[in-house]
Amino acid sequence: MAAPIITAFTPSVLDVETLKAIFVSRQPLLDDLVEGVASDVETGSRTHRLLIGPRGIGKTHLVTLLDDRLRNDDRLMGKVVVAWLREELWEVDTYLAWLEAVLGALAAEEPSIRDDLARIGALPADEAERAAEEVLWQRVGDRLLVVISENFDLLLENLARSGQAQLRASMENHRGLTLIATTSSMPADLYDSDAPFYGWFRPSYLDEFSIDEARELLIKVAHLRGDAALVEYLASDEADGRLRVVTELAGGSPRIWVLLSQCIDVESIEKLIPVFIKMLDDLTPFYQERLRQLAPQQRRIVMELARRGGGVPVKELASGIRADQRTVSSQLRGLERRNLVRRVEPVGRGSAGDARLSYYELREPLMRLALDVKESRGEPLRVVVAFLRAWYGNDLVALAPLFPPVSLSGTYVGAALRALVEKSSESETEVGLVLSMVTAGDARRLLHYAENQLRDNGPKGLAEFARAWSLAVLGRVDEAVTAANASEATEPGLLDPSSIKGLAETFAESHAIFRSVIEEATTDEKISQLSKGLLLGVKSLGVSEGTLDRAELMLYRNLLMTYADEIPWVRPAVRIAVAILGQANGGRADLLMRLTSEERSVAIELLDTADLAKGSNANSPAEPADS
Amino acid sequence: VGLAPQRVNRGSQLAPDQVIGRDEIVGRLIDELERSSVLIGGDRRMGKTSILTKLSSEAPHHWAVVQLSLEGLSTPVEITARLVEALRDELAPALRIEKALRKRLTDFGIDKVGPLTLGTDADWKSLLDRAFASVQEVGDDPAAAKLVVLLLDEVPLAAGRIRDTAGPDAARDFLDRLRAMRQANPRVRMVLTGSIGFHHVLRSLSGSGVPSAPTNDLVGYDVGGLEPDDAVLLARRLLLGERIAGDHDQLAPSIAAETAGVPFYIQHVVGALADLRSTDPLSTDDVERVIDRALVDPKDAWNTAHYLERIASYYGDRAELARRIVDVVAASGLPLSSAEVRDRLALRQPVDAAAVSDTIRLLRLDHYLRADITELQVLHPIVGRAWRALRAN
Repeated sequence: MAAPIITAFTPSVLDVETLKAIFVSRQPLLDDLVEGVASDVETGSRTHRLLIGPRGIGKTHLVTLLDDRLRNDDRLMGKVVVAWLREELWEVDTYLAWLEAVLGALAAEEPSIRDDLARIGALPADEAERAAEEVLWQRVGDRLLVVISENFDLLLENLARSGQAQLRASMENHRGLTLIATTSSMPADLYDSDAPFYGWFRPSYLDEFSIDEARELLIKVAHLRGDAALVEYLASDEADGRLRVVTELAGGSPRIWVLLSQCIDVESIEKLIPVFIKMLDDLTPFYQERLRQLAPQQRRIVMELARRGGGVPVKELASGIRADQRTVSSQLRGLERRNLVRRVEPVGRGSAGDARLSYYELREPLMRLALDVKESRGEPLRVVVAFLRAWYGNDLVALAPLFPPVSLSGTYVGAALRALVEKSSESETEVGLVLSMVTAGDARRLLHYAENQLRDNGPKGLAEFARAWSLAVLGRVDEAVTAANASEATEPGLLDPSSIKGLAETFAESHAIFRSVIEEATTDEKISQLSKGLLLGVKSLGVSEGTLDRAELMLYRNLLMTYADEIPWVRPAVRIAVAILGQANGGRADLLMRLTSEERSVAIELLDTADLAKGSNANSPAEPADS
Repeated sequence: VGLAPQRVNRGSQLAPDQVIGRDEIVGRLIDELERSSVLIGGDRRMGKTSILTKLSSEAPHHWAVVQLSLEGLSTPVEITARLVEALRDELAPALRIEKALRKRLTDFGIDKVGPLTLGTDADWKSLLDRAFASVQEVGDDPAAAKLVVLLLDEVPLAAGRIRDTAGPDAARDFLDRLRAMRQANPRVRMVLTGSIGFHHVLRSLSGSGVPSAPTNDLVGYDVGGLEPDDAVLLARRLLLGERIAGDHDQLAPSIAAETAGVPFYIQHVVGALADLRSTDPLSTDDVERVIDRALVDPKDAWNTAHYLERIASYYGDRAELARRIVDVVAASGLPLSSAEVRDRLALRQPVDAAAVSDTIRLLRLDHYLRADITELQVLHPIVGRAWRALRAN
């Protein structure tokens, strides 16, 4: 059967049935929006909603289904009229133009409105505005006008404060309009307390997809394509591993998942990286356009963040672009509100952070990647390496903190991976896949991959490298050294056997520490003890606010993968530890919120009783100036 | 028992029966308006417009009410056109003065149906005078002898915009003319509201010539948080409406207390709890966490930073003094008298007692501080927390 063409960019051109079939995770929000409108019809209240999320997160998908539901809900028949202002409406820059756009949207169903529009178009501006208002409310009559307004931030910017004030006054005076708006960021026009729309909306943030949600999406796409084999494949362990590699590359953006859903199947997985690079290439103009819309200094900040990757302290950013630190701070706040960067805060819970101590990173990994493609066009492998570099730190050397041993020379890890990239005789795709698994810390999968390769293809440098590396991370010292020697014999210079020994020994030590924590804990306190042990381990590594994500990755990847399958309570312990780290070092309350209530109470107890979670550089929140 | 579920509607527009806990102030306003016009103050999002909505829906039969937001209007001519339109389309039929109105205003093109457009040089003052004079001309028809109540929202904003486009004299002229209409027409009442304090606009107008007092005939009312019982009731209805899992007997009082009964914040907290989409029962800790997050998140619509930011523009050369006064009050766990505030300020550097008193007065008008007889406190615990967090930077 022919698969519907699924375009990742414009869900509004897909038919509704297809969009319904691949709708994931947002059903409760959709229901909630529909119920909100029903409640407005019933009670006479007007509940204005704002859907906030970065580009590609699925806002248009959601409002397309909303539009469909509102038009087909029996309860709303004859009581609601929907005007959908789509994302392409760039030219609306006055209240009059807004009225005309709404009328234009309504004209699709009531063509005679076009005559009104022609008449309005012939009037002088001040008269036209009043005439358009009159026509609109006459046409709407007793029904509730639901305006779905995409790119609302852009609309507000175009309208300026005077146009916004007119729009709001019109909503106050007529009370016949419910506004459902989407925006990729929270613009000043909504949070500034002097702005007409300050506090006007009920906001809902659209989150990135988890792996499970991504899998659900891919399964739905496979069903749609009638691809039973792919559906079955997606439930396999191997697919699970591949999904995780893709997550490393793509983050949790549904738009990317939809794009990748076309190539995730068994045959094409090996082509993942080329497809990914092609996609980045396609995305580059899109991100360049976003850059173009920024003020020159903001653009420089974004490029500097893209170049350096990871979290960068404000001070370093400022010196990097030769600008005043306070100016950079204020520009960063602007970028944060535009959802382009995010802040990792070095303070405890419940206090506002000191921006000067903050680290900032790009909000969308894709942007970093797409911009990077531009700079290294024609050299795909370097793009992958650049991606990994951007994702984990500002250089391959920065990969070192991913691994537990403090004594291990970061330079060694960087050098080892660089040697792999530069010297391997394997295809770029193969090297890229191994790199993904190495940096994902997934030693077991890497070992599995290496052994399959060695079995199928005989001795090869890259597979030996992968085997030695994974055994070292698993702390199996003797086997790792043997494998490193084999690698050296097959492809000299790729891996230094003596360093692998050091790596394996320090990993073995970390495993022993965690094992002892596991064994010493009493039954009742296992989770709490292990969380505490994990936090101590992280602290001993000198993890501070800026390295939160690396610590999180390290905990998840190296411990969860190693123990989670055999010991069921490792998973909650790691979740708790990560949540505590997130809360204490990054102000990431969302991580705590995601715990179950039992886990949360353990986490809170740990947070309250010990200073475990604070990074080594974290300051206590400052006291008020006058106490 | 009999608890009606209600959906979260943060900062948007409520139906009259969704406006909870404003019965008393609405009752007092209805009594007051029989005698006098009224000025309602209160910080943004405190619920002034909802009170107007409720007032409008509960107006006595012998009132004819029109509600108009002046936001977005920036000249006296525009405002006049809207007021006269409202008079023509909504009030005149109820008052049975269509004929009288038409007679007085034929030369202004009032006869036409649809939007009333006036030239920019239209004589708005005499148009207003003549339009409202016709309200007095009801003859012997008792059914027409209604009290005309104009609910005018965002008046200081409009006055500020007139000042910016046409100068302070024009703005003062406009406010004076509104007062003249109230005084000349005993059957006209006005309720003026605004989200920025009238005192700031008036102060900015007084610089030009004769000081005027265009609001000194109005009786002032201040909108604050809900009474504790009402705040709990609102929280309970919203928790029910959003189907929040957890013990509402514990959650609702906690939300009411943490938000000091400010409906906007109650709506926000329940909305944020709903957004957690938790199937596990939520606890009062979750309430605490949601508020903590809202206070520090720069993307959050609470935007508590404005409490700090707007001091510079409101207080001019007294901005630093204003900041220090709020610092002292916010840092104190207990209410302070004005004298105590002065003493604490003086620990650092000498202070001018008159300037301190005057600034405290303005801080109260701007809803930073509240006073219980003689002692000052930060208006809301949330403001205090936000202030401390912001000033810590």
